[in-house]
Amino acid sequence: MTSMSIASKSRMVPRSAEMRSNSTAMSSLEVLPATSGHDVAGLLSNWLATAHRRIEDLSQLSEGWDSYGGLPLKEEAANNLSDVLYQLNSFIQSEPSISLTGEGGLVAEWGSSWSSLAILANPGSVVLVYYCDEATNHEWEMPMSECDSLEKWLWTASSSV
Amino acid sequence: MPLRVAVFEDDVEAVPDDAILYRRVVWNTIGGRDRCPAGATASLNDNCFTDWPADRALEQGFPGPCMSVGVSTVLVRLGYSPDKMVENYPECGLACVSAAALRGLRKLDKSQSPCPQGIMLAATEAEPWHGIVFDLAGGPRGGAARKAIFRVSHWVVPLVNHG
Repeated sequence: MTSMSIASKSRMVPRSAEMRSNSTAMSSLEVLPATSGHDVAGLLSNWLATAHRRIEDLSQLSEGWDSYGGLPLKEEAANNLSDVLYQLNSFIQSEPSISLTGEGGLVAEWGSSWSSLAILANPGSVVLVYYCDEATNHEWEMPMSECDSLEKWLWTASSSV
Repeated sequence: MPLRVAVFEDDVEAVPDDAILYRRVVWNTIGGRDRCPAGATASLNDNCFTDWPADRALEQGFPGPCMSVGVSTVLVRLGYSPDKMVENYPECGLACVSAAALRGLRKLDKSQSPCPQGIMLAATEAEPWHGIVFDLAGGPRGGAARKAIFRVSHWVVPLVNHG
């Protein structure tokens, strides 16, 4: 994959991210944004541009980056995770930790005292969600398309509380 | 020449329960150096314990998804410390987990459902201490099983952000 293709994916972020930020909404665990559905991006979060830069940096790594023959980032995975972060950014209160997987995919993770959540975008696979409620030790793992509670889970896991 | 494919077999003699398994970790597996405060030790995550997918495992001569590790019993027999595994990888840290913990692995859910892992030696020319870990349920290891491994794992050679 070329860095150009990742860069083209991120071109939607920087300009508008600088102009319109929802940083004031990032301080409360209690108030889940009223934005509904996955097709409404809402106001763009400050961290979104940083996340795209991180994905772009990861796209520069070549095969064997992890010492175990890990594959370079695949454009499909980069696009899938970028789309998810963009579409759901108004439900995400903090910057995710983004890592490359050995399959050339990406995983974005958040953790709070309440819960932890990971979104896994591997090439050739549907986007998966893993969520753990730290209070009850309940775990859920499912395709993102089947995850009815994703917005709520994202809001809780990305809280700084 | 046709590829010789191994058969998965949890080898409790060559890899006894008191063996320690080591796996190299790089910054980009755990969110990157920038996420770690200066002077702090990075945190491991479940992404450190992912399998080769089936097609790549097959290229290596294994019948299904599996994860590459170093096996302490072989390292000791050869007179090496675990640091030997990162000797040629200065950017890598080293995580460890016990064989007993992997064989008795359980998920975090209420029923603590078992997700036992099998372990066998798979020496290579470059790494005679090399072994593999595979999910005894078959198929790729899911997120809950990776999280379970993460919870019983520790740093041996930690990645520290020296700033």
